[in-house]
Amino acid sequence: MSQKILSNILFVIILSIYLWYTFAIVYHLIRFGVGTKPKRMALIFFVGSFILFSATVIFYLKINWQDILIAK
Amino acid sequence: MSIFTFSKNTFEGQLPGEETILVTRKHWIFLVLPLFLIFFLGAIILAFTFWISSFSWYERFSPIWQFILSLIFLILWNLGFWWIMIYSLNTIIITNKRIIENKQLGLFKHIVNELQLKDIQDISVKIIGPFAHLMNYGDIEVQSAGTVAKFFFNQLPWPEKIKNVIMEQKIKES
Repeated sequence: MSQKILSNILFVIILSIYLWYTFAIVYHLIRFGVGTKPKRMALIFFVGSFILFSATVIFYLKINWQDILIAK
Repeated sequence: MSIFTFSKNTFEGQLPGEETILVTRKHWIFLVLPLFLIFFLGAIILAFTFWISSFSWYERFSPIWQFILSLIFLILWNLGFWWIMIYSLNTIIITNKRIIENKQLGLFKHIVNELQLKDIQDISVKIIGPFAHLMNYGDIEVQSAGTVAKFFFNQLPWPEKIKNVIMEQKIKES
């Protein structure tokens, strides 16, 4: 039980750091960028980040740890 | 405001009646080179994936490798856009009243230098090296009558043209 709690806490910490970092980049580009190019970069970054993050989560959920850890 | 239409390049701290004449950043080669390294790293990792997929044990471990691969690409994507953010936010803005240099050195490290056009005494352009001549980038040194005697703007594209724009605005302003 404690291992599950620890892994959940670790996951939340990593997710928080990632979301904060993503928000910081988008915020800086939109708030401080001069002209339209930084805003376009922010949009591209956000869309790509979302796609890659979703792919990472999907691939993680597809892992069958039983298959990998038990030798055949 | 649509990000796909023409921009007046307004900025925070713009004074009433102040018009943006030119916004410039470092030469694009200083953005592309680090991005190319990141892209090259991604390509190496993909090539490694193709190589290990030929082994018999790959099928058993492919889900975990796919997860690691997507994580690596997520990290590379964030790294690339960190660099794009730093490049985009480092600007030289020439207005009809002053020159503003924004230096974004990190997420929470930001320097702004400002120079009034009327304080400009002298401008010199330095283009050093064959590569700089080929790619047409250089440094601009501005001698000022203000508190800070000299301003240096490094690795700018078309430095001669930028110098001409500054001199034009200085003449108009005076």
